[in-house]
Order: sequence, then C-alpha cells, then structure tokens
Amino acid sequence: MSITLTGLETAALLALWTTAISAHAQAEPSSVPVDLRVIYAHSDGTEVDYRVQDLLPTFASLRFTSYVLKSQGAFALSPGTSIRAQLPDSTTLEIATRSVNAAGQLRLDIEIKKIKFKTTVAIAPGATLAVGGPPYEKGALIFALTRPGVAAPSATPSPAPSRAP
Amino acid sequence: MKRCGISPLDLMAWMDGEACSEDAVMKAHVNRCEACRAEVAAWTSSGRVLKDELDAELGPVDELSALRAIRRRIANARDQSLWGRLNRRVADVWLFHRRAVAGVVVAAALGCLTAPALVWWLGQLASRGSHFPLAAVVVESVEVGNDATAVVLQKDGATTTLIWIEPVVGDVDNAHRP
Repeated sequence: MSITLTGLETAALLALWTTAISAHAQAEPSSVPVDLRVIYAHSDGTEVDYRVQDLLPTFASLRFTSYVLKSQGAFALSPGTSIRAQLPDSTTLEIATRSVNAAGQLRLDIEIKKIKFKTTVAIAPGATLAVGGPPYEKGALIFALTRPGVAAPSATPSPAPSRAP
Repeated sequence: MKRCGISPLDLMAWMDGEACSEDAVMKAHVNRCEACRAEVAAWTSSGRVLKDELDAELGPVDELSALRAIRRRIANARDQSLWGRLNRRVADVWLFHRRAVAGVVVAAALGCLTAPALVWWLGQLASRGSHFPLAAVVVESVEVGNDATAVVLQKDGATTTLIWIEPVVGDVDNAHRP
C-alpha cells in the first residue's frame, strides 16, 4: 500500500515539527553558564583591574580604593549539582544549583562555611551577585558570580536579609 | 480373432505414450494386426464415452473459479484486519466529509504554524518583563553566623547586587561597609 501526502497534510506535519522544535527550544536548559571572579579589595593604592570595571558602580559605596582580580573561572551549572571553589584565604565557596525558575532566573544556594554564611538567590541572565567581606591580607575578598546573557531591567526589591542567631 | 504376441499391457502403454522407443514398431504392428487395431478402437471409444459422461455430469467447469475464491478469501481477510477497517473508515470519512476534514486540517496547520510565534512571544514577554519587571538578582535569604552582619546593596535598575558581610560587629578597622 502506498502512502501519499497532500499539500495540506504536508503543511500540517511541517507545522507540528516546527512546534516540537520550538517547545524544545523553550524548555529548561540542561546547564547554565556562570562566571566567577575572586577580587581582592584593599586601600593600598588605586589599582583597579580592568576585568572588574563593570562592578565599580556597585563597589562605589565601599571604602576600598584598589580592586585586584585574584582568579577567574567559568562554570556550567546544572540543576541539582554543586561546585566548590577555593578562595585565596583557603576557605571554600560552595554553590549548589537548585533550578531555573519560570522567569528564567537561576536559583542558587551559596555557602562559605568558614564564616557561616549562607544565602539563596535567584540570578537573571546578565546579572551579577557579589559577596564580599571576608578579611584577606590588608583588605577583604569579594567574589562576583555573573550569569552571562542579556540583562533585563530590574524593578523588584529583594526581601530584607535575615541574620542567623 | 487371432491374437498376436503383443500383450494388452504393452498395447495400453503404447497408447499412453509410454513406449516411445518402440513407437514406430508398435504403430506398424497395430496397422497390420486386426486384433490389436480392434482393441485400440474399443479402448479409444470407451475413453471418449467416459469423458462425455463425465462432462455431462459436471457441466461447464470454470477454470478461474478457484483463483477467484482464493482472491475473495484474501480480500475478506484484509477487510477484517484492524488496518483494513481503519483504512475503510478513513476512506469513508474522506469520501462523505471531505470539506469538513479539509477544514480541520487547515485549522490544525494554521494553529501549529502560529503556536511557535505565540510561544516565542510569551517567552519574550516573560524574560523582558514588560508588564511584570523582575529583579536581576533576588536575594531570597541570607544567614551569617559568628555575630557577623550581612548587608544587601541593591539599586533599582542595577544588574549587580552586593551582599556585604561584616565579620565582627563594632570592629572599626574592618568596617568597610557603607
């Protein structure tokens, strides 16, 4: 028996195929790339690494005058997995990936056990979360987690941080 | 009638074509021998009578009737199969509701063609947040220990959020927070 397709049937099949591809493209990504920069902030001098220039407006409220990039790395985070990064002061930064929420934000648990710091954040494409404060040499360490992509306008404020007992 | 030396079995074998090597000899003998010729004539006559009687009893025989019956059985088996029934049902629907089926197919095709655009548009709407703007970074919770303090610095419209941890409260030398 031979099977022949009319023009309409071919169009319908093609449309279904296109829909399937589109749905696949809209599906949750299997892994999300993130960049991690570890910055040494201090007040001896005015050296500012060009690779942290984009963060200076945020750092403007700090009292440091010099920002040196100590290390930089790129990771691909998959939901349900975690990565560990060694900071210069021999502490360990642990990032656990929860999921990508409906708004496309990457939800992460970030922990530095040495100082008992733990946070849960959701990062949109193009956004950066910087965590700073641990003392290091004559200043402090700041690590910046950036999710590459096109940034969306920000409007919703974050809830007030809590403090552990 | 005087019998010759040819046995009736040899004569029958010759009539049935089983004495090929001696066909010419047998033929010459039958032409000469009156007894054998009479016997051959009698057998031929009785065989013709038998055939006529058989034809009369059976009537006209259609040689293709068996073939036709086999084909009919194949067709019946095909019609009884699931695929055959489905095929027949589809053919009936297409035959009697051709316009309706064509309409449904066109509607489905149009829907499928516009669905990707709709999905893409909804995705753009969600990511751009034209109606419900989203924060670049949402800090859901922060916990710090050892009497440390955490401050979240997040400006409207900025893509960078800073969480500053002050390890020891009241330590003037390490106080860099704003």
